Amino acid sequence: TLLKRATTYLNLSAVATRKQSSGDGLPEEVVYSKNNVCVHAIDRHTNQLVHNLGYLTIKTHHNTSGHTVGDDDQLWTLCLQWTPNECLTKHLDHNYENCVQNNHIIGSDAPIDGNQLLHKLDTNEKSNEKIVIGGDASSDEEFVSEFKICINKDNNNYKNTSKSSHSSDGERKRRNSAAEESVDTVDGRMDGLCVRRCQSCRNTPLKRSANSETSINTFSADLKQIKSLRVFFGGDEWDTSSDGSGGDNTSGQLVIVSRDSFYKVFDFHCGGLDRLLNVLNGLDFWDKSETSKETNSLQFSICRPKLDSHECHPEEELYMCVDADQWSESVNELGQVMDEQSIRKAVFFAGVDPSLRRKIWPFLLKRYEFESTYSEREADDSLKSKQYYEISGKMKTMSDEERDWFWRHIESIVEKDVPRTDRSNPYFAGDNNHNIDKMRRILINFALYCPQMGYTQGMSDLLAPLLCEIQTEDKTFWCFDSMMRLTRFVCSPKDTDMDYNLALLRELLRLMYPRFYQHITRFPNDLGLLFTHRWILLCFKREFHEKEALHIWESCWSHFQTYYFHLFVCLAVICIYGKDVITHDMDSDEVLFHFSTLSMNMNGKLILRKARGLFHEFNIMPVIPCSLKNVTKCGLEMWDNNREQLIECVKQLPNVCKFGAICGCDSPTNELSLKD
Amino acid sequence: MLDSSRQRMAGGQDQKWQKDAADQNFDYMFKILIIGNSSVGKTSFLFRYADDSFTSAFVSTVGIDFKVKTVFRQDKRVKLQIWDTAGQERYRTITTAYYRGAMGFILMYDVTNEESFNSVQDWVTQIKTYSWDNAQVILVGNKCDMEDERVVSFERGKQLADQLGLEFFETSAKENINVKSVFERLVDIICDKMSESLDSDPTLVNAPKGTRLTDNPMPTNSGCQC
Repeated sequence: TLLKRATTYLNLSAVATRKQSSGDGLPEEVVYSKNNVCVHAIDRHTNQLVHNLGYLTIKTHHNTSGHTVGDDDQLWTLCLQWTPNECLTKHLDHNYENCVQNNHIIGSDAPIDGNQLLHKLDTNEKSNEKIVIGGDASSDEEFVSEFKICINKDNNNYKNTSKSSHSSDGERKRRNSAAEESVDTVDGRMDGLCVRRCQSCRNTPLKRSANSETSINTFSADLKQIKSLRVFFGGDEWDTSSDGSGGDNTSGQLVIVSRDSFYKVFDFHCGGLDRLLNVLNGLDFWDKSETSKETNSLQFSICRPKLDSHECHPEEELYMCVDADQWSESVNELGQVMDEQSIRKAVFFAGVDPSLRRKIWPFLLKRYEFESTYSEREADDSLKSKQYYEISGKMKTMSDEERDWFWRHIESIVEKDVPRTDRSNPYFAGDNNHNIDKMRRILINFALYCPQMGYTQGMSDLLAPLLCEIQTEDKTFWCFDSMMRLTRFVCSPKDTDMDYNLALLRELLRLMYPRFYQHITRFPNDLGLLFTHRWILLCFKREFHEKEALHIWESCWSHFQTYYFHLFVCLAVICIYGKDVITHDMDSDEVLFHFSTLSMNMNGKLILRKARGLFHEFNIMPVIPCSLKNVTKCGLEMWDNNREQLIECVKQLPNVCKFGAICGCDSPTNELSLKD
Repeated sequence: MLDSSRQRMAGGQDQKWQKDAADQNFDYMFKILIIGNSSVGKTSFLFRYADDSFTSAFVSTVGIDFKVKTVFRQDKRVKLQIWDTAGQERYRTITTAYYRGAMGFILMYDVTNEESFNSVQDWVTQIKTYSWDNAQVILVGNKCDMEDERVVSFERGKQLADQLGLEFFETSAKENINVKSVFERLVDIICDKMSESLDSDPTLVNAPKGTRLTDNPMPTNSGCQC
């Protein structure tokens, strides 16, 4: 079969070559190419990220036929094309002719010697079997690594081998040992991330076979017909470089935007953006001005999201995530946490070691007091446990009418939501999973216990990570209860809380990103920040991958100097990804669409870093409006000199109140609804 | 590098953007809403239509999602902006934003779920309360592939639709039954309604190409909340 495949491939090459030579003689020049460029797709239903690797080229195409000569610009186009790697698989099997018809292939007119090719196939196949790969990084390694993946896909047994096969790509060879180590650590470093992503890329065909939704097509676009093109440096590796400068990292994203504001995001997980920049910079049809509102002018900009040091919190980089050592050091023999502020601060900056979530989250969620002792907590646990198992008894005391209401408005909805919550998480995967029943019982009991909150769609999303970490049903219930009461963090399902959060966010924007504020004030009041609704409601769970989302949760729960850190996260997203809204003068629907397209495509670590920087920036402002005076009130001060900020009443500011600023001068307890 | 740069793509006119609509040229834009109880299949229905995909594993919708699809209908390029929201949406902000400017509704129930059928009347009330008078509505009984679990017959659905003066389809997002027909029919009746209105108000005829019929300028809320 090997020989057959090789022959097939050669035939194909021949076809491609012939096509090329017998064509109209259109001169084409490939100015850029890169293998393993990733297009992410979100499986909407499992909310999981699907990686699709492909081959990206940019070529100039001189259009010599048809048009009248005269305008030089009309004579050539600049075509960007991305072809999924799996189309390479296709031309290895019997479908290759279809591929040719559908133009879904990468042909090669580079003369490939048959023996050489056989040799390549051979080594790849062998390496698959032996699980020891890495020796075949030949001169055209890009070709090899592409090919490699095709074969991996063909082989349904590759799953077991993929862990070591990551080293096959010559490009990553030098990082081998590091990658091997970090592949299993959740807090993976750059190499780990990179490898893991690629690994999951290889896993996609398995998923895809069960799920046709994620089918991915060839993409091509004339770069001269688009609205803008942006290069984002940084990718996942943002905080791996200790100086925060990003170093020589050339990974990141290429984002092209059609004139109709449709996006395509290409992820360069393994570098290569620098070469792309060189190519693009050499072309002269870009409008590189920052503020052009001319919709027909092409935008090209480079975004190296290295936050300058002045944008970062001055204490950035000083903290490590709270790990077992630090935790055990801070707990005394009675079980009391001695240094609450340090813990909170470390969590704020660096999060919690995943293995300690079960221990620390209950404190962050205010389920336990930091100063409580082991015995107190134990006593409380057993009391609460008893109380929990009595809750379901409420059901029996209901009248038929109440029972019917409860079924229709709570139970039936819970029943429908639970089986579609986080099922891609192994903890909830599979049929007849008891953890699903736990989740259902907790939600129903919560609605019984706290009828004024009941059940709102989205609660199951918030509960799932808690249950997954804490696992015990009754303990999870009480943590969930605490979490729902931390309405400063996640909104309880009440309009007033959401409105209050949006009012604060609007004020923060006015203060810290006035241009964006100006833009949204043109929309009807409630439409302006509609796009942040889900961010706030689910605390970014649907906007970032779980690992990053949980970091954000922890930063918010840390209540380090503020109960409103989630709003600074919103602000950071808008600051970093919202520029297009102004540049392209988007209306409210487009803004919503813009940000929903970005979800799961944003860099969570960068956002958190920016959010901390913004928080600091806010903290040192000499004057703040009264509408925001409670934002930094947190009741946990350890320094003697609290920073004094002048407070300016928003009533004196024309046009501010009418956009929802709530004056905080008259009643210091303005946020009654937000009391714990 | 040289080698790879000599690799060539064979042709490739497939202009497929992530969200399937690369052109800015359209004659009309219609905003369409899919409403109905939780879990009747609204999101699946939208995905089937916009992406031609289906999976039984899915997540509940929180907040608002929408997809855009451009279709040709009666010689016009119609850009559809199809909105999908949670069946149990409690937030006034979202509800009002959602209904604002909608020209067509797909009111969906699940033929295997009596409760969702019983709620149809409530949803009709909701439409009447929040939406534009001329909005067009189609009643859709989804999941018609699940014959074994069916509890609402075609006849009952049809009868209710007649009673409410709505068009009626039974569909299956899973088996791709009638999904496209629903949208096509809805676009048609919106177009019909529109030309009716145009007849009665000829000033609208000369609306420039690409006019967004959904863009009703809304007065900004000027009440100071101080």
